[in-house]
Amino acid sequence: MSRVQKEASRLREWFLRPEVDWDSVYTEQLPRIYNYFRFRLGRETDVEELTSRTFEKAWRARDLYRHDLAGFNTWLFRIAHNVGVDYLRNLRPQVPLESALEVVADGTPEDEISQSSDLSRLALLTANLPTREQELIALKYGAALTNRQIARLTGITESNVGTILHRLVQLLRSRW
Amino acid sequence: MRNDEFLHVLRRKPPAAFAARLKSRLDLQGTGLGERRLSVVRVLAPLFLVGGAVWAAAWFLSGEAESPWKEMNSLTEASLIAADETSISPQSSTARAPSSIAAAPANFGSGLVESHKVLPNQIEDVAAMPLPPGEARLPLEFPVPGEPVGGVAILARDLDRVGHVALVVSGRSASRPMSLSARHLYLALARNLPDPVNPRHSIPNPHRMWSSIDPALEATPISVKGPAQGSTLFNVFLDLIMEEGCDYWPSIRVLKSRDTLQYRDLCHALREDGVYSPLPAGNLAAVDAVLSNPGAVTILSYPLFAANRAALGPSLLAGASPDPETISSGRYGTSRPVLVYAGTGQTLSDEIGAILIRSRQSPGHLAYGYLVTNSGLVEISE
Repeated sequence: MSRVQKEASRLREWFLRPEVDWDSVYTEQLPRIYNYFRFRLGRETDVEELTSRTFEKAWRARDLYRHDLAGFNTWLFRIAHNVGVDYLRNLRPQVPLESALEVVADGTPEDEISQSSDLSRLALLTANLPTREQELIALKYGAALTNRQIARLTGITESNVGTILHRLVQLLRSRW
Repeated sequence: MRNDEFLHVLRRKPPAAFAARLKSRLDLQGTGLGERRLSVVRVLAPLFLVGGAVWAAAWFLSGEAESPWKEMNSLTEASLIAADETSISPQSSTARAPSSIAAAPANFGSGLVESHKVLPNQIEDVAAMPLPPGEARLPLEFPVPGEPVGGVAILARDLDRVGHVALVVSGRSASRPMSLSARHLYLALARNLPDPVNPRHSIPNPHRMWSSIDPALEATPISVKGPAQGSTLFNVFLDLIMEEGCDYWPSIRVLKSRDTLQYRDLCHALREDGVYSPLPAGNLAAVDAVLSNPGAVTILSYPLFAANRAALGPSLLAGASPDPETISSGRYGTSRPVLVYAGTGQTLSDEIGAILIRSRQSPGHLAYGYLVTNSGLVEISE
């Protein structure tokens, strides 16, 4: 098969791949990204802003992934990671006033207070952990990714992801 | 209760109002890339048609016309492809075409600009055109509009015929011109760089001055102006300069075949601290921006550089200097020929699109290209 024929064949395959349904992607990925930031920051403040920033960046060039959902999702989390890193790097030590004005939308007020305080507790417990461990917790329990997906994103082997997370859960549970 | 249930229960649904607000913002944003290109098509296509017709009339009346094939064969500065929106190609290449329909091969010869759309009647005209001596035409196998995807037809096979896309790095120096390599530029512009202690890890780009990258360079702050993200020229810049510089590290180079996403993440992410800033769209605005920042290094398309060479300063890239001869022969490093393919897309039920394949000099490096659809330019991922 000549180079040109191979290229034509590749292009034909590309054409025939189904296109991504972006509405479904949004519905599925929004809670993941949203909770990823909640777990990563350990609070509710700025979570919506960072989630918006991530989606807007990704949406701008989503056509590049119109036939590659897996590639898009991986890319989306890479953007979220970078957005989070930038945010945390520029974060000032002060607590913004807005944090006292959290607006809750789902669940009872009691549930929200309980969840919020548990999130703060998690933030306290993970504050001294290395960044990588904090990231793994956010990806596993915030974004609800599988160990395989986390391995692909972080470059750590799947078995190592499982081992590290197991150790972290034991640690957090003992102090909870 | 699962061992980690206390962590699972911390998840919560995003507030519905926020989800709806963000969704509507994203819907308004659209695909960006495609829509911007589409608007270019809408604006430029009528201009090309009118301009081509007017020129054709003058061309025939003057009686001094030369064969369009002859023009195609001689690769002039103006015939180098202008692949981005800041290029100056419409004046030079497209306007020379004798008519809008017969302009098709001349357009391919001078490079298919992304705003160009190949239509079935143009394809037929291409097939009817006489071939230049010694040239063979590959069979055109265009499917009928409305029918399922057929083959991919090749409109041109000689890379030099199709055109080239070339980048120029230029700048005016207060002291002496710098001689830059792709690696210098990568080290200046990448958001993260391999950790010198452990190249498998990366660190935020620490360089502020050119001289901190290489003592042989100027002790001036790094400031680079270049193509806007998402533009065709920007992608070429990533491929020909950033990747070239990035590939210096074997541990990164192997990722190109093993983990494309991570490779792109490492090699394509530019710093966001203002060191790199996009040139504004439009030739005049771009040149103005360059002139108002005399200390900046500028990355721009060859046609724009050639048209403003005196004002922009010399080429700073080490090696052959850019001119039509070095670009067409492949001796100028940051250029590459362009292949043009055409075919139908699965979703294009009633119109034929064209695929613009970008290729490097080396055979077999047709890694990816562009699909020109009715909704704009779409990059084909690997």
